[in-house]
Amino acid sequence: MTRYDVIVVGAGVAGSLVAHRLGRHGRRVLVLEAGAGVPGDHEPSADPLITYLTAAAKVPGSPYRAHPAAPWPEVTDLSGADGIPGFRAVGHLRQEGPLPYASGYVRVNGGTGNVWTGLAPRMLPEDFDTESFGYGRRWPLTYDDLERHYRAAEEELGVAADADEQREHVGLPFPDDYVFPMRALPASRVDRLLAARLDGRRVKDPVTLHEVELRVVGTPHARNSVPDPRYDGGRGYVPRGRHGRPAPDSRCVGNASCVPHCPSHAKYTPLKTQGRWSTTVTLRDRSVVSRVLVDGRGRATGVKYRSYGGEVSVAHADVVVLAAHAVENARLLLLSRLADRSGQVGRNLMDHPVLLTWGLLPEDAGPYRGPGSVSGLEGFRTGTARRLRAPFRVELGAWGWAWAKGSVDADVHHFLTERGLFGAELRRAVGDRIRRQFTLQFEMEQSADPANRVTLHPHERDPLGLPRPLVTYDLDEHVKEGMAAARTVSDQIFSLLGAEDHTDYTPVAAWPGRFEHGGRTYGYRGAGHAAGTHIMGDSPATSVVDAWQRCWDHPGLYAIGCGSMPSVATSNPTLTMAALALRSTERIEADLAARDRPASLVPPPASPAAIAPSPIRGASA
Amino acid sequence: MNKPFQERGAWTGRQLGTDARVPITDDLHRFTELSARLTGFDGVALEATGLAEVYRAVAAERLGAERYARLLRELPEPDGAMDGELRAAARAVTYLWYTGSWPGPPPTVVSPRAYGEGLVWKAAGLKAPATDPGGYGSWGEERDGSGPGNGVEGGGR
Repeated sequence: MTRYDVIVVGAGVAGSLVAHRLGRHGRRVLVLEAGAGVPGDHEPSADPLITYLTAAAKVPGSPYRAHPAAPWPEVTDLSGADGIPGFRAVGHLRQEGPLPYASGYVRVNGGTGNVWTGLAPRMLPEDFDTESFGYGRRWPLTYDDLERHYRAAEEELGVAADADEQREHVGLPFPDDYVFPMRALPASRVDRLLAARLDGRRVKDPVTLHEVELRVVGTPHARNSVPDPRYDGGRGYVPRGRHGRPAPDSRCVGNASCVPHCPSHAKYTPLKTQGRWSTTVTLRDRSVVSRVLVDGRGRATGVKYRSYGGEVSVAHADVVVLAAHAVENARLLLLSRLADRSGQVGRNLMDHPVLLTWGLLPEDAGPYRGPGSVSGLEGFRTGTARRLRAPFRVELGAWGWAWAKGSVDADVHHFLTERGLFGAELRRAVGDRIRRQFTLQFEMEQSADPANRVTLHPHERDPLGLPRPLVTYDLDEHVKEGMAAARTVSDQIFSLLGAEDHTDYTPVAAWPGRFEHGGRTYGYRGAGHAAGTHIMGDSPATSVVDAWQRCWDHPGLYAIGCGSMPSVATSNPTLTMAALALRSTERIEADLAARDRPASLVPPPASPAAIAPSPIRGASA
Repeated sequence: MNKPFQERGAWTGRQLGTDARVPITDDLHRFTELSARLTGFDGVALEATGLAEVYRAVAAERLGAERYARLLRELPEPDGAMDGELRAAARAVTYLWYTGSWPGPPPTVVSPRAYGEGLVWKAAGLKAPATDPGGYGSWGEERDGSGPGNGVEGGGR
């Protein structure tokens, strides 16, 4: 059968959720995934855990081996260089901007959602309209419009958090009776040490000259903890384990390897959603979609895709959903020459550029024993300060210096070769160094800029003959001022902690993302939060998709994922992406229901929203 | 000192490192002694990793017969004088024990077990990620003191 109700391109977080929800309605869904499927299907030997453990560089893609036909960009594809530009990019994602887009993604079944950290905070109501702060782009919907879908996403992903804490210390408007599926995770040792010394203390924001009160606050996690019996009106919640099966006793056990692989299956991945798919959902992996097909009126009719051997197939459906990652979605729209009336396809590429600062606490920080970050500092995300500098969320990093310096092998190398230690001295020095390590991870909001974009490379082709993506990327003054503020805040925090600051953005080769600003050098990493490349808006003249993530010009074609986000805010974006995907699913189901209805008997559906060129913004402010 | 059961090697087949009569055991003994000097972990701790024989073979192969023989012959003291060649060989063997990888670039991870048994984690009183998790909430607890640490404890100053 080559005709389906819906074709979903990409089996990551967004695509897997859409397929799941539509399958529940009995819809025939074909999911085409460019990457390889579950180990055992094709390569019994490819256990992601073993592949990860034996990888020389434990980078996000390390549990998987890329097939040449479906390559992906890895952080190791980038290296710093002297001169202008100060970096080199090799591999799948080529670059030609002043600064590097510093994030990768993976093309395997489950997508980048297999390798994410698992942090699942909501966006703040004010994040949906930063135009009032004088920067960025407004969403065509509000927090209130999305709230119901946030709840649904928290159920689908299995989120552990404390609503009271989120309400009081993050400023989220949770109703009094809101309960998360699972209780907040216990704070890590580094969280407790920092809370003891920082809570209630104030630091000065050098850009706004405001004083900000510090408080260590737990972050919502899509990770199994203790179920909250009050959830769902007292019905409770059953944690899900491997393949999404009920696993009442499943808990995060502290493997400290969430990125890239959770051996205990406590962390949410799309494979859990796939395990719950109905029989009407079909996954076809190793299928690289190369083109979206439309009819003479622009309506989506299906896709063309290739096997790894280059064999071309076509599948037809009434609805096509692109859920292949912000970069690959843009690439696919550009390859198909679709949806670009606004000229915005591929533009407005955003990420969370991350300023890292790291050092040694006076005592044991308890690193490498749990999730990469359990808690954060939330005081720099909101308010009028956003006018002057990018807002940021501060993650308290609990894996030593891993993100800044690589694995602990780097510490061994340092003491062996630079300090010349052996024997008992080496053992003491290495142990002391690693035990006291911690990192502050300042995740900056970067706003939509049409100049930051993904295009098709003029001559570089992947092994299937498809043009590689080419990125042009830079950081604006707003972000750089945010990093400047973050660094000064960091200095004050280190002082309050009595911590030894080891922040140093050298060697140059290890810091492709490096720039000077106001006489100080900064290095940044990418959080892996690609967004904006098929930006959502309320006019086909200025945006690629509408508030339902429908491509304006092509009935039946949706582009979903972080690529739709008009702003990335300061929240890790997966939960918001999931909420948006669930919201789109309602729209798709309504489209299909309308199709199936005898034409003249019933009025068009009124739910979830009238089919209008522009969705009505929520009445609530 | 031979343990009695090692004699069984004579009739249970020729598993590497179990036959007390072949020179390899003496070689292994010397390799372990050298490794203890270089790493700061005693022979018992090194043998407990189950990797001594594997690492001996890796070092012999990677260093080449001549350099390997010299390293074992001279058994350098960590604080003693070493020439460049000996120092490089000593560092590589130490790095192997600490990380489970022979130095690169890129480093070669010997096996999943080698990664998990890296002395770098033991030196810090920790377990290698994804190998031996401490259980729900363990990341928030005070160190239990079982690690060979320096008794460094947290708390306010």
